[in-house]
Amino acid sequence: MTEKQRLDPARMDVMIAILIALVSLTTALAAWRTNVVGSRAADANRQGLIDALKKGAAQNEDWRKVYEEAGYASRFAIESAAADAMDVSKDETLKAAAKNLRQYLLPSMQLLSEPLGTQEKYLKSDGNFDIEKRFADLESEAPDLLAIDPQASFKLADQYSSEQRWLTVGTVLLAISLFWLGLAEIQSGRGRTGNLTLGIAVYLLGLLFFLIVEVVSIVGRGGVL
Amino acid sequence: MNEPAPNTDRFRTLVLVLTLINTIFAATLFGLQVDANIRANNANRDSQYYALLASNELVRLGQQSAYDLELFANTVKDTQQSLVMEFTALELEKNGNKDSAVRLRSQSEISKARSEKGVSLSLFYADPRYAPKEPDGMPDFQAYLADQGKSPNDLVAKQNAASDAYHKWNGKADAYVAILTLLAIAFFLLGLAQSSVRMRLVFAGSAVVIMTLAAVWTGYIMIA
Repeated sequence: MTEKQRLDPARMDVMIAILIALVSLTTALAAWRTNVVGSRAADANRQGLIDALKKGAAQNEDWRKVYEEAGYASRFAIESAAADAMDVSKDETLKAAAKNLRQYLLPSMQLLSEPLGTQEKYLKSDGNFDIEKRFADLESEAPDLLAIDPQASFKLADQYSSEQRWLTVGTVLLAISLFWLGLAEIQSGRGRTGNLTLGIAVYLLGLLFFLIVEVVSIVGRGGVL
Repeated sequence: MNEPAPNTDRFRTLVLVLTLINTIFAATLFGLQVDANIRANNANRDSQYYALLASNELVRLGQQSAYDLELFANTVKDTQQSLVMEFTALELEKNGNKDSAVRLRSQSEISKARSEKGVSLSLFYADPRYAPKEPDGMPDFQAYLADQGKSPNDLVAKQNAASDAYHKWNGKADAYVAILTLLAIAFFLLGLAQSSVRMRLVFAGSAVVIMTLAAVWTGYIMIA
Protein backbone atom coordinates (compact mmCIF):
# COMPACT_ATOMS: atom_id res chain seq x y z
CA MET A 1 0.00 0.00 0.00
CA THR A 2 1.41 3.38 -1.06
CA GLU A 3 1.56 6.47 1.16
CA LYS A 4 -1.12 8.10 -0.97
CA GLN A 5 -3.46 5.13 -0.56
CA ARG A 6 -2.94 5.13 3.21
CA LEU A 7 -3.82 8.81 3.48
CA ASP A 8 -6.91 8.44 1.31
CA PRO A 9 -9.63 10.54 3.13
CA ALA A 10 -12.32 7.86 2.83
CA ARG A 11 -10.01 5.18 4.28
CA MET A 12 -8.91 7.58 7.01
CA ASP A 13 -12.55 8.28 7.90
CA VAL A 14 -13.24 4.59 8.46
CA MET A 15 -9.98 4.02 10.34
CA ILE A 16 -10.55 6.99 12.65
CA ALA A 17 -14.18 5.95 13.22
CA ILE A 18 -12.99 2.48 14.29
CA LEU A 19 -10.39 4.09 16.53
CA ILE A 20 -13.03 6.37 18.09
CA ALA A 21 -15.21 3.34 18.79
CA LEU A 22 -12.29 1.53 20.41
CA VAL A 23 -11.29 4.55 22.51
CA SER A 24 -14.93 5.16 23.52
CA LEU A 25 -15.22 1.56 24.67
CA THR A 26 -11.93 1.80 26.59
CA THR A 27 -13.01 5.08 28.18
CA ALA A 28 -16.33 3.56 29.22
CA LEU A 29 -14.53 0.56 30.73
CA ALA A 30 -12.07 2.86 32.49
CA ALA A 31 -14.91 4.97 33.89
CA TRP A 32 -16.65 1.78 35.06
CA ARG A 33 -13.51 0.48 36.75
CA THR A 34 -12.86 3.88 38.38
CA ASN A 35 -16.39 3.85 39.77
CA VAL A 36 -16.03 0.27 40.98
CA VAL A 37 -12.88 1.26 42.86
CA GLY A 38 -14.72 4.28 44.33
CA SER A 39 -17.52 1.98 45.47
CA ARG A 40 -15.01 -0.40 47.05
CA ALA A 41 -13.55 2.55 48.98
CA ALA A 42 -17.03 3.52 50.18
CA ASP A 43 -17.76 -0.12 51.14
CA ALA A 44 -14.52 -0.37 53.12
CA ASN A 45 -15.32 2.89 54.93
CA ARG A 46 -18.81 1.63 55.72
CA GLN A 47 -17.37 -1.69 56.98
CA GLY A 48 -14.88 0.21 59.13
CA LEU A 49 -17.65 2.23 60.76
CA ILE A 50 -19.74 -0.92 61.35
CA ASP A 51 -16.67 -2.59 62.91
CA ALA A 52 -16.06 0.47 65.09
CA LEU A 53 -19.66 0.32 66.29
CA LYS A 54 -19.44 -3.41 67.06
CA LYS A 55 -16.12 -3.04 68.86
CA GLY A 56 -17.35 0.00 70.79
CA ALA A 57 -20.52 -1.79 71.90
CA ALA A 58 -18.48 -4.81 73.05
CA GLN A 59 -16.01 -2.60 74.92
CA ASN A 60 -18.82 -0.66 76.59
CA GLU A 61 -20.31 -3.92 77.80
CA ASP A 62 -16.91 -5.09 79.08
CA TRP A 63 -16.36 -1.83 80.97
CA ARG A 64 -19.85 -2.07 82.47
CA LYS A 65 -19.12 -5.62 83.65
CA VAL A 66 -15.71 -4.66 85.07
CA TYR A 67 -17.10 -1.75 87.08
CA GLU A 68 -20.03 -3.84 88.25
CA GLU A 69 -17.54 -6.42 89.57
CA ALA A 70 -15.45 -3.62 91.05
CA GLY A 71 -18.49 -2.29 92.92
CA TYR A 72 -19.23 -5.71 94.41
CA ALA A 73 -15.54 -6.32 95.14
CA SER A 74 -15.13 -3.04 97.02
CA ARG A 75 -18.34 -3.66 99.02
CA PHE A 76 -17.08 -7.14 99.90
CA ALA A 77 -13.71 -5.75 100.98
CA ILE A 78 -15.37 -3.03 103.11
CA GLU A 79 -17.81 -5.43 104.78
CA SER A 80 -14.92 -7.87 105.41
CA ALA A 81 -13.05 -5.07 107.17
CA ALA A 82 -16.19 -4.32 109.20
CA ALA A 83 -16.46 -8.02 110.17
CA ASP A 84 -12.79 -7.97 111.23
CA ALA A 85 -13.53 -4.95 113.44
CA MET A 86 -16.51 -6.79 114.97
CA ASP A 87 -14.27 -9.78 115.68
CA VAL A 88 -11.83 -7.75 117.75
CA SER A 89 -14.64 -5.89 119.54
CA LYS A 90 -15.25 -6.48 123.28
CA ASP A 91 -18.96 -6.68 122.54
CA GLU A 92 -19.99 -10.37 122.36
CA THR A 93 -23.10 -9.59 120.29
CA LEU A 94 -20.92 -8.00 117.63
CA LYS A 95 -18.60 -11.03 117.63
CA ALA A 96 -21.61 -13.27 117.08
CA ALA A 97 -22.85 -10.97 114.31
CA ALA A 98 -19.41 -11.13 112.68
CA LYS A 99 -19.53 -14.91 112.69
CA ASN A 100 -22.91 -14.91 110.97
CA LEU A 101 -21.79 -12.25 108.51
CA ARG A 102 -18.86 -14.45 107.50
CA GLN A 103 -21.09 -17.45 107.22
CA TYR A 104 -24.04 -16.01 105.28
CA LEU A 105 -23.48 -12.54 103.85
CA LEU A 106 -19.81 -12.30 102.87
CA PRO A 107 -19.66 -15.49 100.73
CA SER A 108 -22.59 -14.22 98.64
CA MET A 109 -20.93 -10.84 98.22
CA GLN A 110 -17.69 -12.54 97.25
CA LEU A 111 -19.47 -14.61 94.61
CA LEU A 112 -20.88 -11.45 93.04
CA SER A 113 -17.43 -9.87 92.88
CA GLU A 114 -15.85 -12.82 91.07
CA PRO A 115 -13.27 -12.88 89.58
CA LEU A 116 -12.06 -9.31 90.18
CA GLY A 117 -12.56 -9.48 93.92
CA THR A 118 -11.34 -13.03 94.39
CA GLN A 119 -8.37 -13.69 92.11
CA GLU A 120 -4.89 -12.68 93.27
CA LYS A 121 -3.85 -11.54 89.80
CA TYR A 122 -6.36 -8.69 89.97
CA LEU A 123 -5.09 -7.39 93.30
CA LYS A 124 -2.52 -4.61 93.09
CA SER A 125 0.32 -4.23 95.56
CA ASP A 126 -1.46 -1.22 97.16
CA GLY A 127 -4.51 -3.40 97.87
CA ASN A 128 -6.58 -1.90 95.06
CA PHE A 129 -8.17 -3.77 92.16
CA ASP A 130 -6.46 -4.00 88.77
CA ILE A 131 -9.43 -2.90 86.69
CA GLU A 132 -7.43 -2.48 83.46
CA LYS A 133 -6.10 -6.04 83.70
CA ARG A 134 -9.58 -7.42 84.25
CA PHE A 135 -10.81 -5.43 81.23
CA ALA A 136 -7.95 -6.78 79.09
CA ASP A 137 -8.82 -10.35 80.17
CA LEU A 138 -12.49 -9.81 79.35
CA GLU A 139 -11.52 -8.52 75.91
CA SER A 140 -9.32 -11.54 75.25
CA GLU A 141 -12.22 -13.83 76.18
CA ALA A 142 -13.90 -12.73 72.91
CA PRO A 143 -11.14 -13.10 70.29
CA ASP A 144 -13.57 -12.47 67.41
CA LEU A 145 -14.43 -9.05 68.80
CA LEU A 146 -10.81 -8.36 69.74
CA ALA A 147 -9.80 -9.11 66.14
CA ILE A 148 -12.15 -6.44 64.77
CA ASP A 149 -9.98 -3.62 63.47
CA PRO A 150 -11.79 -0.63 61.96
CA GLN A 151 -8.45 0.95 61.08
CA ALA A 152 -7.68 -1.96 58.73
CA SER A 153 -10.89 -1.24 56.79
CA PHE A 154 -10.09 2.48 56.77
CA LYS A 155 -6.60 1.74 55.46
CA LEU A 156 -8.08 -0.39 52.69
CA ALA A 157 -10.54 2.41 51.88
CA ASP A 158 -7.64 4.87 51.66
CA GLN A 159 -5.84 2.52 49.25
CA TYR A 160 -8.93 2.29 47.03
CA SER A 161 -9.42 6.07 47.19
CA SER A 162 -5.82 6.65 46.17
CA GLU A 163 -6.27 4.24 43.26
CA GLN A 164 -9.50 5.99 42.29
CA ARG A 165 -7.67 9.33 42.11
CA TRP A 166 -5.01 7.99 39.72
CA LEU A 167 -7.52 6.00 37.65
CA THR A 168 -9.45 9.24 37.20
CA VAL A 169 -6.31 10.79 35.71
CA GLY A 170 -6.03 7.81 33.34
CA THR A 171 -9.71 8.11 32.38
CA VAL A 172 -9.26 11.83 31.72
CA LEU A 173 -6.31 11.06 29.41
CA LEU A 174 -8.49 8.58 27.52
CA ALA A 175 -11.25 11.19 27.22
CA ILE A 176 -8.75 13.75 25.91
CA SER A 177 -7.55 11.26 23.29
CA LEU A 178 -11.18 10.87 22.23
CA PHE A 179 -11.34 14.62 21.71
CA TRP A 180 -8.25 14.58 19.47
CA LEU A 181 -9.59 11.68 17.46
CA GLY A 182 -12.87 13.53 17.07
CA LEU A 183 -10.96 16.50 15.70
CA ALA A 184 -9.10 14.23 13.30
CA GLU A 185 -12.41 12.84 12.07
CA ILE A 186 -13.90 16.24 11.23
CA GLN A 187 -10.71 17.85 9.89
CA SER A 188 -8.91 17.38 6.61
CA GLY A 189 -5.36 17.86 5.32
CA ARG A 190 -2.16 17.90 7.32
CA GLY A 191 -3.88 18.88 10.57
CA ARG A 192 -5.84 15.66 10.42
CA THR A 193 -2.74 13.44 10.52
CA GLY A 194 -1.32 15.51 13.36
CA ASN A 195 -4.51 15.24 15.40
CA LEU A 196 -4.75 11.52 14.70
CA THR A 197 -1.16 10.94 15.82
CA LEU A 198 -1.72 13.00 18.97
CA GLY A 199 -4.98 11.18 19.70
CA ILE A 200 -3.35 7.76 19.37
CA ALA A 201 -0.35 8.86 21.48
CA VAL A 202 -2.56 10.22 24.29
CA TYR A 203 -4.72 7.10 24.12
CA LEU A 204 -1.73 4.77 24.45
CA LEU A 205 -0.31 6.94 27.24
CA GLY A 206 -3.66 6.90 29.07
CA LEU A 207 -4.03 3.14 28.62
CA LEU A 208 -0.49 2.47 29.84
CA PHE A 209 -0.96 4.81 32.79
CA PHE A 210 -4.26 3.12 33.67
CA LEU A 211 -2.74 -0.35 33.52
CA ILE A 212 0.29 0.66 35.61
CA VAL A 213 -1.99 2.19 38.28
CA GLU A 214 -4.10 -0.97 38.32
CA VAL A 215 -1.13 -3.33 38.59
CA VAL A 216 0.60 -1.27 41.31
CA SER A 217 -2.64 -0.94 43.31
CA ILE A 218 -3.61 -4.61 43.04
CA VAL A 219 -0.10 -5.73 44.01
CA GLY A 220 -0.20 -3.21 46.91
CA ARG A 221 -3.41 -4.84 48.17
CA GLY A 222 -1.89 -8.30 47.95
CA GLY A 223 -3.71 -9.34 44.80
CA VAL A 224 -7.18 -8.16 45.79
CA LEU A 225 -9.09 -6.54 42.92
CA MET B 1 -17.19 41.85 -11.35
CA ASN B 2 -16.77 38.71 -9.32
CA GLU B 3 -16.94 39.13 -5.49
CA PRO B 4 -14.44 37.07 -3.53
CA ALA B 5 -16.04 34.06 -1.81
CA PRO B 6 -16.40 34.54 1.97
CA ASN B 7 -13.66 32.82 3.92
CA THR B 8 -15.60 30.36 6.13
CA ASP B 9 -12.42 29.09 7.85
CA ARG B 10 -11.53 32.43 9.47
CA PHE B 11 -10.76 32.02 13.18
CA ARG B 12 -11.60 28.33 13.02
CA THR B 13 -8.16 27.44 14.35
CA LEU B 14 -8.71 29.87 17.22
CA VAL B 15 -11.99 28.15 18.07
CA LEU B 16 -10.27 24.76 17.89
CA VAL B 17 -7.52 25.92 20.23
CA LEU B 18 -10.13 27.32 22.63
CA THR B 19 -12.00 24.01 22.51
CA LEU B 20 -8.79 22.18 23.29
CA ILE B 21 -8.05 24.49 26.23
CA ASN B 22 -11.59 24.03 27.48
CA THR B 23 -11.28 20.24 27.21
CA ILE B 24 -8.04 20.15 29.18
CA PHE B 25 -9.49 22.58 31.72
CA ALA B 26 -12.63 20.45 32.12
CA ALA B 27 -10.58 17.26 32.42
CA THR B 28 -8.36 18.80 35.10
CA LEU B 29 -11.39 20.13 36.92
CA PHE B 30 -13.00 16.70 36.81
CA GLY B 31 -9.87 15.28 38.45
CA LEU B 32 -9.98 18.01 41.11
CA GLN B 33 -13.66 17.32 41.72
CA VAL B 34 -13.02 13.60 42.22
CA ASP B 35 -10.14 14.39 44.59
CA ALA B 36 -12.25 16.85 46.61
CA ASN B 37 -15.03 14.28 46.81
CA ILE B 38 -12.65 11.60 48.09
CA ARG B 39 -11.25 13.98 50.69
CA ALA B 40 -14.76 14.97 51.77
CA ASN B 41 -15.77 11.30 52.10
CA ASN B 42 -12.68 10.45 54.15
CA ALA B 43 -13.18 13.45 56.43
CA ASN B 44 -16.83 12.51 56.84
CA ARG B 45 -15.79 8.98 57.80
CA ASP B 46 -13.20 10.29 60.28
CA SER B 47 -15.76 12.64 61.77
CA GLN B 48 -18.21 9.78 62.35
CA TYR B 49 -15.46 7.53 63.72
CA TYR B 50 -14.26 10.14 66.23
CA ALA B 51 -17.86 10.84 67.28
CA LEU B 52 -18.24 7.13 67.96
CA LEU B 53 -14.98 6.97 69.93
CA ALA B 54 -15.96 10.05 71.97
CA SER B 55 -19.35 8.54 72.72
CA ASN B 56 -17.76 5.23 73.83
CA GLU B 57 -15.26 7.11 75.98
CA LEU B 58 -18.10 9.01 77.66
CA VAL B 59 -19.87 5.72 78.40
CA ARG B 60 -16.68 4.30 79.95
CA LEU B 61 -16.09 7.45 81.98
CA GLY B 62 -19.68 7.31 83.18
CA GLN B 63 -19.09 3.81 84.55
CA GLN B 64 -15.80 4.84 86.14
CA SER B 65 -17.18 8.02 87.69
CA ALA B 66 -20.19 6.17 89.09
CA TYR B 67 -17.85 3.65 90.75
CA ASP B 68 -15.35 6.24 92.01
CA LEU B 69 -17.99 8.62 93.38
CA GLU B 70 -20.12 5.93 95.02
CA LEU B 71 -17.06 4.54 96.78
CA PHE B 72 -16.05 8.03 97.86
CA ALA B 73 -19.56 8.92 99.10
CA ASN B 74 -19.78 5.71 101.14
CA THR B 75 -16.32 6.32 102.57
CA VAL B 76 -17.24 9.86 103.64
CA LYS B 77 -20.51 8.58 105.15
CA ASP B 78 -18.65 5.87 107.14
CA THR B 79 -16.04 8.39 108.35
CA GLN B 80 -18.72 10.82 109.55
CA GLN B 81 -20.79 8.03 111.08
CA SER B 82 -17.75 6.86 113.02
CA LEU B 83 -17.05 10.40 114.26
CA VAL B 84 -20.66 11.05 115.28
CA MET B 85 -20.78 7.77 117.21
CA GLU B 86 -17.50 8.59 118.91
CA PHE B 87 -18.82 12.04 119.99
CA THR B 88 -22.06 10.51 121.21
CA ALA B 89 -20.13 7.85 123.15
CA LEU B 90 -18.15 10.63 124.85
CA GLU B 91 -21.36 12.46 125.75
CA LEU B 92 -22.92 9.27 127.15
CA GLU B 93 -19.74 8.58 129.15
CA LYS B 94 -19.87 12.09 130.52
CA ASN B 95 -23.49 11.52 131.57
CA GLY B 96 -22.56 8.27 133.33
CA ASN B 97 -24.10 5.90 130.78
CA LYS B 98 -20.94 3.81 130.40
CA ASP B 99 -22.50 0.61 128.94
CA SER B 100 -24.16 2.48 126.08
CA ALA B 101 -20.95 4.42 125.52
CA VAL B 102 -18.91 1.20 125.16
CA ARG B 103 -21.46 -0.26 122.70
CA LEU B 104 -21.50 2.91 120.66
CA ARG B 105 -17.69 3.05 120.64
CA SER B 106 -17.64 -0.47 119.19
CA GLN B 107 -20.08 0.64 116.47
CA SER B 108 -17.83 3.62 115.84
CA GLU B 109 -14.85 1.27 115.41
CA ILE B 110 -16.79 -0.78 112.84
CA SER B 111 -17.67 2.34 110.85
CA LYS B 112 -14.05 3.46 111.10
CA ALA B 113 -12.86 0.10 109.75
CA ARG B 114 -15.28 0.48 106.82
CA SER B 115 -14.09 4.03 106.18
CA GLU B 116 -10.39 3.06 106.33
CA LYS B 117 -10.93 0.26 103.84
CA GLY B 118 -12.86 2.66 101.62
CA VAL B 119 -9.99 5.15 101.78
CA SER B 120 -7.51 2.46 100.71
CA LEU B 121 -9.73 1.49 97.76
CA SER B 122 -10.83 4.95 96.65
CA LEU B 123 -9.02 6.62 93.79
CA PHE B 124 -9.61 9.96 95.50
CA TYR B 125 -7.35 8.95 98.41
CA ALA B 126 -5.05 6.32 96.86
CA ASP B 127 -4.04 8.23 93.71
CA PRO B 128 -1.47 10.97 94.49
CA ARG B 129 -2.94 13.14 91.71
CA TYR B 130 -6.21 13.55 93.63
CA ALA B 131 -5.36 12.60 97.23
CA PRO B 132 -5.91 15.34 99.86
CA LYS B 133 -2.76 17.36 100.56
CA GLU B 134 -3.61 17.62 104.29
CA PRO B 135 -4.73 14.79 106.64
CA ASP B 136 -8.35 16.05 106.92
CA GLY B 137 -8.49 17.75 103.54
CA MET B 138 -10.73 17.03 100.60
CA PRO B 139 -9.54 15.28 97.40
CA ASP B 140 -8.74 17.40 94.36
CA PHE B 141 -12.00 17.06 92.42
CA GLN B 142 -11.00 19.73 89.91
CA ALA B 143 -7.98 17.66 88.85
CA TYR B 144 -10.16 14.53 88.69
CA LEU B 145 -12.79 16.24 86.51
CA ALA B 146 -10.11 17.78 84.29
CA ASP B 147 -8.49 14.36 83.77
CA GLN B 148 -11.85 12.71 83.14
CA GLY B 149 -12.79 15.29 80.54
CA LYS B 150 -9.46 15.31 78.71
CA SER B 151 -9.77 12.22 76.51
CA PRO B 152 -13.38 12.83 75.34
CA ASN B 153 -12.57 16.51 74.76
CA ASP B 154 -9.53 15.56 72.65
CA LEU B 155 -11.69 13.18 70.62
CA VAL B 156 -14.40 15.81 70.18
CA ALA B 157 -11.74 18.31 69.02
CA LYS B 158 -10.58 15.77 66.41
CA GLN B 159 -14.18 15.11 65.43
CA ASN B 160 -14.81 18.84 64.97
CA ALA B 161 -11.65 19.22 62.86
CA ALA B 162 -12.71 16.29 60.66
CA SER B 163 -16.21 17.71 60.38
CA ASP B 164 -14.80 21.11 59.34
CA ALA B 165 -12.59 19.37 56.76
CA TYR B 166 -15.63 17.52 55.44
CA HIS B 167 -17.59 20.77 54.98
CA LYS B 168 -14.59 22.41 53.33
CA TRP B 169 -13.97 19.62 50.79
CA ASN B 170 -17.64 18.99 50.19
CA GLY B 171 -18.11 22.69 49.42
CA LYS B 172 -15.16 22.56 47.02
CA ALA B 173 -16.52 19.45 45.30
CA ASP B 174 -19.91 21.16 44.86
CA ALA B 175 -18.27 24.29 43.47
CA TYR B 176 -16.21 22.23 41.01
CA VAL B 177 -19.45 20.68 39.72
CA ALA B 178 -20.86 24.19 39.20
CA ILE B 179 -17.71 25.20 37.30
CA LEU B 180 -17.90 22.04 35.19
CA THR B 181 -21.42 23.14 34.25
CA LEU B 182 -20.02 26.52 33.18
CA LEU B 183 -17.45 24.75 31.05
CA ALA B 184 -20.22 22.68 29.46
CA ILE B 185 -21.87 25.99 28.48
CA ALA B 186 -18.51 27.14 27.07
CA PHE B 187 -18.34 23.90 25.07
CA PHE B 188 -21.79 24.62 23.67
CA LEU B 189 -20.79 28.17 22.69
CA LEU B 190 -17.60 26.93 21.06
CA GLY B 191 -19.63 24.38 19.11
CA LEU B 192 -21.87 27.21 17.86
CA ALA B 193 -18.76 29.25 16.99
CA GLN B 194 -17.44 26.31 15.00
CA SER B 195 -20.56 26.06 12.86
CA SER B 196 -21.42 29.76 12.55
CA VAL B 197 -19.44 32.10 10.28
CA ARG B 198 -20.97 35.51 10.95
CA MET B 199 -21.32 35.11 14.74
CA ARG B 200 -18.16 33.05 15.20
CA LEU B 201 -16.24 35.70 17.12
CA VAL B 202 -19.25 36.62 19.28
CA PHE B 203 -19.77 33.01 20.36
CA ALA B 204 -16.04 32.43 20.80
CA GLY B 205 -15.76 35.67 22.83
CA SER B 206 -18.65 34.62 25.06
CA ALA B 207 -17.00 31.24 25.58
CA VAL B 208 -13.73 32.96 26.50
CA VAL B 209 -15.54 35.16 29.06
CA ILE B 210 -17.14 32.06 30.63
CA MET B 211 -13.85 30.15 30.61
CA THR B 212 -12.09 33.09 32.27
CA LEU B 213 -14.82 33.29 34.89
CA ALA B 214 -14.47 29.54 35.48
CA ALA B 215 -10.67 29.84 35.76
CA VAL B 216 -10.93 32.66 38.32
CA TRP B 217 -13.52 30.72 40.31
CA THR B 218 -11.36 27.58 40.23
CA GLY B 219 -8.33 29.56 41.44
CA TYR B 220 -10.36 31.08 44.25
CA ILE B 221 -11.66 27.67 45.35
CA MET B 222 -8.21 26.08 45.24
CA ILE B 223 -6.73 28.86 47.40
CA ALA B 224 -9.67 28.97 49.85
